[in-house]
Amino acid sequence: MKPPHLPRPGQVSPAWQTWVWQGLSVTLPPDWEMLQFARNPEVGRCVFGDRYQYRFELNWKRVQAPPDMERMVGDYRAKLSEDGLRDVRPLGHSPWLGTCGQDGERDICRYGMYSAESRQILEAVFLWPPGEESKPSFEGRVLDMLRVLPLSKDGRQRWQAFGMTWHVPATTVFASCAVEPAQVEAVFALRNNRGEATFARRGMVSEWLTTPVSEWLVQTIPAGYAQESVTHAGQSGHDVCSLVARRERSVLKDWLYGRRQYEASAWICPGDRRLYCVSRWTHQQRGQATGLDIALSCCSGLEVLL
Amino acid sequence: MKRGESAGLGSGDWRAMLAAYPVRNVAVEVREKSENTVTVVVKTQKPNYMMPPISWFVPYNPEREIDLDAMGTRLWRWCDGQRTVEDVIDLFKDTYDLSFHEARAAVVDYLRKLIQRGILAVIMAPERPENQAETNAK
Repeated sequence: MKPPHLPRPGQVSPAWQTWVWQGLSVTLPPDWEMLQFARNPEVGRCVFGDRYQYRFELNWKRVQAPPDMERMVGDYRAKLSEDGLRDVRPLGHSPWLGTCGQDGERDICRYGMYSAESRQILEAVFLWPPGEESKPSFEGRVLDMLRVLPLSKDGRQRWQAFGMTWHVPATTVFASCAVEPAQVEAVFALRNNRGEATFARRGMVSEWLTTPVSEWLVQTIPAGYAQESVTHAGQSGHDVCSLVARRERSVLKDWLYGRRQYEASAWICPGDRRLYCVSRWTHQQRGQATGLDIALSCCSGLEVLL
Repeated sequence: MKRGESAGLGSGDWRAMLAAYPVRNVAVEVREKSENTVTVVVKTQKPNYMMPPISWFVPYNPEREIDLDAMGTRLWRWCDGQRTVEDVIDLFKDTYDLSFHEARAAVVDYLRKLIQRGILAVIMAPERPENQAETNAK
């Protein structure tokens, strides 16, 4: 597999949008949105759609040993023919092996490859609109930009979806992700259950935010915590409000691992006028790292670290 | 409507839904509550069981009032029978700076509620003439 990197500005049309999910980076037309996703890093899929239909699927499955991809794709091709896919023919876009066929009026093109770096079988499926012929050049462009992203030097994993870019330690568990109109919230937890990080983006701010961001942020402090400080900092045209709160009454776990601390930052990005919020709670012991270093970015102008 | 493991988009092609026309129930009465909000009054059908002695004890209201908030009123006004569901979604998207599918999820969910309350109906778009010709030829 080619050395992983993200497309540089100018390398692709700036209008195309990059999504990074479970360590896989894919760059797609701007009107394609992620409509389905999986939280399981071992096996899962993401589905993207334009305004009329599903257009692209990305499937992944971690395997113990490298498979015989040619045989696997050949068997798969035979199975698709048996299942009634018409005009099944082989496709190739090195290192991807593919097959294309017609399901009713639609062309469906599937490509598979094995990534030795991530020990994953990857499958990219292009679902073409009815009556439109598949375009190998378009598919090749998407496949060329599909990458397995390495972890950063400090062991953090990058995610980029739903208008946010965030970094979390690769050791965390992807606990939940809720995507609703104008509201996205992704939660990651430490495996030992001693910390949790939340990344959120909220739209239609003028419709519901009736107080300054700092006041709204104070309202997000969980019950049982006492506010310690609220600060403001101006960064690249963003007014970032941050707060720290500590658990008022210690429980046994706090005596063992340090008292629980809640930290959060929130701001409205002037670019898209949405409210972004990154927060975490951890057990904070003096002089010890929390093990939950996270970052959230709304645009190229700002990255907030906790 | 949530996105996630399933987006509730069924077959994966929602063209027919987007091409449909939401139309108001002509029998409803619209009362302006304020500049931005309305109350829609819809007549209800008297249930068969609503006769003495039940009707002596159970009140029956021949009208049901549905208050729409500012956002709902805006959506209601956009459903004028001339705009398709896609047009309404585009208006909503542009007004509130949302992505298409964020707006779709919000609008479709709201229209569904209005339909359930009997104040809105959806007319499916007629098949395009060229498609019709193809169908006839087959």
